[in-house]
Amino acid sequence: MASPPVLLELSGITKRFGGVRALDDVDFAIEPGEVVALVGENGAGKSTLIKVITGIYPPDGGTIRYRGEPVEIRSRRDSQQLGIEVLYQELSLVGVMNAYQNVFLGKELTKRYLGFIELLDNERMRIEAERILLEQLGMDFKGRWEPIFLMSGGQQQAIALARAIYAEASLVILDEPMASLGVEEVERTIAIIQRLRGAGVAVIVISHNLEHVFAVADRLVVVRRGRKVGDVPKDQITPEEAIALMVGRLQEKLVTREGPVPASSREEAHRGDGRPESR
Amino acid sequence: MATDVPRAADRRLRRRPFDRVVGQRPVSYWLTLLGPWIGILVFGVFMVFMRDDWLTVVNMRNILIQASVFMVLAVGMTFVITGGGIDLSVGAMTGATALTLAWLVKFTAIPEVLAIFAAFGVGVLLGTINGLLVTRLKMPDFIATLATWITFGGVVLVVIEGHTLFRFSDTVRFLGRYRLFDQIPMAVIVAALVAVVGYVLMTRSRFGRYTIAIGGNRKAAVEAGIPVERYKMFHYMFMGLLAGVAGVIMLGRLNAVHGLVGEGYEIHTIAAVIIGGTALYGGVPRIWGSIGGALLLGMMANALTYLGIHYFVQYVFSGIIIVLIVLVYSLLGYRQRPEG
Repeated sequence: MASPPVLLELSGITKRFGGVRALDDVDFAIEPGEVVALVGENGAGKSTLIKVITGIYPPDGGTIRYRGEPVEIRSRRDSQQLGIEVLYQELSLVGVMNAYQNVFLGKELTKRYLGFIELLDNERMRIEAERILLEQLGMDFKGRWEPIFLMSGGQQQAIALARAIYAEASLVILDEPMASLGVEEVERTIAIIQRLRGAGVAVIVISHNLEHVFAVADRLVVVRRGRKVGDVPKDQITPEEAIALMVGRLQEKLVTREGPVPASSREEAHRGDGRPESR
Repeated sequence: MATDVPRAADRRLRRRPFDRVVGQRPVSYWLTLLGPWIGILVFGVFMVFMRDDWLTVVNMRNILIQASVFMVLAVGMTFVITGGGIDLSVGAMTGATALTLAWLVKFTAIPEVLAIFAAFGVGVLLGTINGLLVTRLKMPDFIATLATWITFGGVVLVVIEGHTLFRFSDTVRFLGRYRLFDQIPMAVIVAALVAVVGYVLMTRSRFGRYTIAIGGNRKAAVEAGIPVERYKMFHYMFMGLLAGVAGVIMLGRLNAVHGLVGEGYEIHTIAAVIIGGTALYGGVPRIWGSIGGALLLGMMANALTYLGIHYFVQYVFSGIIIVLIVLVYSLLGYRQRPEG
């Protein structure tokens, strides 16, 4: 491939809140078209890590590389410019607006009248939004002009994803995407995530539900007390192991593409001055 | 395929018949959309039966002229309220701009046309002060405009010192008095123009779309990269400009200003917007509804005069009617936006 294989690479990320180390020397990397599940108990550091990636909490230490280039992500604007889109649990949609208005919010299409009056091109936005939703997400929104708060959670999620797709996101972060969905809609969301992967978009999924995680992810990253304790391809870990890592019954399991990293060597790397090499 | 998915909202909405979804909207949506127009119709029929001299061209024109000031103000207020704010200082701003115009033509040699634009400018300036308090000093909209309501009103009283300025030229009174073809009042034309511009802005411009987004879900607006503070600023400046227009119309109509001109306009304006179906908590605008609301209130004020009810009693009636209308809306389950 022409583009460098790693899309986003975080090395030695540390974030403190007062005396609390929310993130302690965390490495994280994701490739285009890869789906990584970020799991861990409440307060383990999942959301802090996401907020570092999105620029909401600039890190206290460590480096971030995007497509191989060192970058600083200090605000949401910075991360948006890199093509990082986040879908929060409480979706960042305007409930009183309809589907296309939400898809194009902040990036409206316009049309000129008499050469100087620039008005919104509602018709083109509607057609374009319906096309994205149908072709990329397999959802039919034709003739749906009601405010989206009247729609189901799955439909709202599709609209939020269409936003990300229209923004040409390179990395989509889904915060508990399946928390409030019915069985059928969970399946649809999983299918949508697989479509995104097929389109070369990197996806980070935060979830408590290991069943969903195993259904959708290529790789699992486990955090516990601000440390990364697990980083394993899905086929080399069992749900039981993942839980053991989350709660601390299992100390650490890190597997790179070359093979497992022995826990002892990592400990030495930590004790030394130099930061551990990222994968 | 998407339509057979059970809607999350259905579970919450099933409780009341008015919440049934018809034509992709709850029934309450349609009722509040038509509300002011039904009110106008019912009230009109009532008045025709009460007084056979009510439905005349002259009286209809009087109602329109009387309502036009509030139509102009209500369009501006629709933007402020839809954007999640409120402006209590509109009455004081209207008075202050009328006074500015009166003072400039009486005490300076400034050309009268220029003085009219100066009044608009003062409106924008006062609106900017509101906007700065809300966006820079982070004051709640309600508190900031309550403070400026008192302040602007106080400044007017100080400047005018209890006098009344009266008798102005036809140029100064153009917007309030002139009649196109001797028939169509300029004030009504201006109100119609403001309504059309307001409607186009609300439905077809970024300004309107972002106003709805900010009032609908401020967090989502920020997340979408919308400069929320800047748009809040625009809302108050726009409101100020329209208060200037209303002030000039009012001066032209009354041919006089005194220290208390514009008093009570804020409540009247907000009432017109709420009767028109705009959601008080933001996100759902109804420009034409605000026009209808202003018209309905104008009809009521006119009717109370017609029925020989004393001016002060009219205040009581207006208050009761407003409370009743708002009550009807809340009984209808007036909900067009999700909680929070």
